[in-house]
Amino acid sequence: MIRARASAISMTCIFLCNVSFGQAPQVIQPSSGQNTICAKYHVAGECVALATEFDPSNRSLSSTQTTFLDSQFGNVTPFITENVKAAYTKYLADQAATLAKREVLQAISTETAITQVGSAPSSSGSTNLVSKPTTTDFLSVAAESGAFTDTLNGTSVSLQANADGLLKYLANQPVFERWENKYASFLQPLSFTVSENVAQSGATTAPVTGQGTTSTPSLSQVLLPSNNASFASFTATYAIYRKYTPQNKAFQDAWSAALNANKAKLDAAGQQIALAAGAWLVPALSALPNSVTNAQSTWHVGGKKAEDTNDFDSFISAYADYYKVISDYLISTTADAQNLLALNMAVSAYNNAAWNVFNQARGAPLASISYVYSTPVQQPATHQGTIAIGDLFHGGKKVKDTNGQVTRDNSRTFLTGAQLSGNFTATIYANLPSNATYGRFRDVQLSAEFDKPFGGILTGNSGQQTITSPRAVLSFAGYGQYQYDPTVLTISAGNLAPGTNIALPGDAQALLGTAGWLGVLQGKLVINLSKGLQIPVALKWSNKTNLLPGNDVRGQFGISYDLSALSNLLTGKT
Amino acid sequence: MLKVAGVSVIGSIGVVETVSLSASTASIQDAFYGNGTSVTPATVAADGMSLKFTVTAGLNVLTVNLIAPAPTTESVELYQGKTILRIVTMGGLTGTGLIPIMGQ
Repeated sequence: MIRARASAISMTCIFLCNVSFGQAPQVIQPSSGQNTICAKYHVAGECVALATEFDPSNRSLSSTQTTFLDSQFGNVTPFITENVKAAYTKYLADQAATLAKREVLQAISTETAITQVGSAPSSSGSTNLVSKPTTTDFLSVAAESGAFTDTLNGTSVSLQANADGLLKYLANQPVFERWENKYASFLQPLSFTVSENVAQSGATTAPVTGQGTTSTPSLSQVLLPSNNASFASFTATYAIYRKYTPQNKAFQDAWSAALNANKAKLDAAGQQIALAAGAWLVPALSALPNSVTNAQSTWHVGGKKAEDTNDFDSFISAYADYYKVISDYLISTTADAQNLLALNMAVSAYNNAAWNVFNQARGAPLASISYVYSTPVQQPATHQGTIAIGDLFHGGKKVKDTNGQVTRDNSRTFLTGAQLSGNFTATIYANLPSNATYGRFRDVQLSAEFDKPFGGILTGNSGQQTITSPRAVLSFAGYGQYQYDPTVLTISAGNLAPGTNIALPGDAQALLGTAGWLGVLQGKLVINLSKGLQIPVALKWSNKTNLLPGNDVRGQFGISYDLSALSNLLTGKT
Repeated sequence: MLKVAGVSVIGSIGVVETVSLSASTASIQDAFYGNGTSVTPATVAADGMSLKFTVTAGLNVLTVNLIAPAPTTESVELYQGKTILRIVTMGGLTGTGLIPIMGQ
């Protein structure tokens, strides 16, 4: 047996532990053999408690005929895990409460950070000059029109999905509730974006089958105008969070601040647990039926005998029989089942509130890495890698605390909730023709953006303030791109060589524009009309475009919707 | 002092009782004492390692909500003196222990 005395592990206590550990009874970690026996009798969730009671230093059943194990159903997490499915069979879950809980969690989902909902900067029509480290928690759609570096305006539609949100939806899990799944932590930072070019002008060739009038020259084929959608780009993004350890002082400070900031929410959730627990246990335990008291007496006799003879298997066997009887009794009526489900929901809401605190303490993603495969119109396809970094400003005025240390107060300042993002991007051509006169390396890009929220709600304190649900976000961005060769233009089949009637081959390419630096400045206002709905309007200036020299001033606009706001439509079917 | 007796713990009406927590990382976030219609907040120590409440008549439930700064499956202990009142299994960042108390 491994004895985990609290005093022995107090070195890792991150709080001010002034408990008199010398008085604390020992918590006994069961041996592997004891765990096997607990599992055999279906009481694995209580094995630590059983091993603790069975330890010679704690055998209260043997000495006093009483034990805390009689009411170990009060260890809520394992009891709910073992019994909630049975409770569901007795009672139809309270849909109104479920929906109310999802509303709260959905609000948390769409409140956090300044996220990216449109396409990557390199995509045709994108209104995002700089990528953000944060994206949607489920699905978002965006329609955008404009161009940054391209000579031609583009219009694109983008669909963005979070891998964890999609998996939860496909697995019939509530999208905005935490899913304790081994893949969840890995998938949550992963998102995908697919962009389509729409309203794209083009031409296709068609053979001529005859002359419509006798005056028409003889033609073999003509170009027909086309206007269709085509694949523009695919993006995979993975968010990277600050590494933390619970013992790290900075994390402790952030954790304490987040706890204080969310104390009211946690207390409210905790009170709901207490009310649900009282409604469940007080009536049920006030008048125990004979079946329970008889099982309890049998367990006490068997348990004492097993303790006296040091027989762990018999001890667990005796307890398991009692635990089954009391568990069944505590969910035996529809009211009991309803109360246990209400307790389960309250515990789940409390757990989600705790994760919200944890995520606040951990902070927004420090960076993200992304890969983009693009097929620009009439240009060769490219592979692109981007590192995006971001920093969120908490604001607050500098003040001195009682120790004379400079800290920040809870007031809203110009920088509160503002965000600075930076990108580094490198692009290569996906395919290089054997006779190409240009290299595979296309360009490198550097960009930065400052986002300032307006309106909204100030949340958090102690230097952790941020702005949730801003009415609008004003952004200023700068972008520099060094291109190693002039822009490559793919000439579609059917074009004729100038001054001739010689049709060019399908893979003909020409170089346009110039190599070197291309710079873009952008001002953008994103208006949040309602939860999840955004309209970005932007104005950009560039020193040239990819095909033509000379300054270029252009406007961009779009509309995007984060489907995370449609929480009521995204219910898992249970 | 609280005394374990069957499915509940017996306490004396009007007595202020103290329950302590033994844990490596978890602490008491909040605690409530009462029944299904009304609950009273218990007084939680600043370090989150103990709480105080006053026993009232009849059967009530002491609900102790725990929180940890990192996901853990640790089993922690709520106790008074040398008496174990509840062993609580942490699930993720939180855990809840219920202690039925009969005030006499």
